[in-house]
Amino acid sequence: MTPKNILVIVRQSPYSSILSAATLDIVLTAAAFEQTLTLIFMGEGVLHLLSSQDSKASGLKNISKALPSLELYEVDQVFVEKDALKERNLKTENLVMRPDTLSLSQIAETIEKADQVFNF
Amino acid sequence: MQSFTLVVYGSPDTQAASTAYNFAQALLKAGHQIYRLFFYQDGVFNACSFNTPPQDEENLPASWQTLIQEYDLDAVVCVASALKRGIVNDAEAERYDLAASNLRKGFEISGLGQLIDGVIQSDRVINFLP
Repeated sequence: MTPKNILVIVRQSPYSSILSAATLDIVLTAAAFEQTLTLIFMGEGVLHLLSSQDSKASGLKNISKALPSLELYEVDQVFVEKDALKERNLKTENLVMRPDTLSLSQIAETIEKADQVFNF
Repeated sequence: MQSFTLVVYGSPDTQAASTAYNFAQALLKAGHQIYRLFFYQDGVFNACSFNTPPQDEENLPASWQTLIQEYDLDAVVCVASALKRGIVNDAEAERYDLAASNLRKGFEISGLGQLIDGVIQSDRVINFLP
């Protein structure tokens, strides 16, 4: 069976809900099933990628640490919304990994190409 | 006719869960097939058998059970989400030495792989997030 194009979009800020951890679990499980995965961080979601996160005091897991290892699981299609970085005065150097940036219209194209979208 | 997997992320008190239930009913009425219901995160509370709401309120978990049994649906509860929230079947209750089990009839506990299998096997996957 041909693998499906699964697109996972992260729009919520980290630590705002348990969804961040759930998102990562879905991505890793889909990768284990050898599906074609694309991960896009949009809006507040780009904060997931911020380096120098310290979640110790909150008692919540620091998910940013796990993100660079996504490549090991062959999730290499990781993108970040260009405008969302700009609006927050962030550069890719501030992030735990160096994902390519996408414009909103490129994100729209990616959504169109996907077989299944998980929008968190 | 299309096949669907519905993913429920909200507890029975959320609109996400009741919309998912109404959508499931509508799908079946329209002759579509539900490949799987997958209950994830707080959605696992839909599979609890201990909830006893006031008489003038709907008991959504009981409604799910009726629907699942009537149409012989595959209803899967994510094991990690369930254990974390205290939803257990007999086997898990015994394994963790818990006072009782509370998984509703019709539901089964399994892994997140069943969600991805749903993505692979069904025509459409619909997510119901609170």
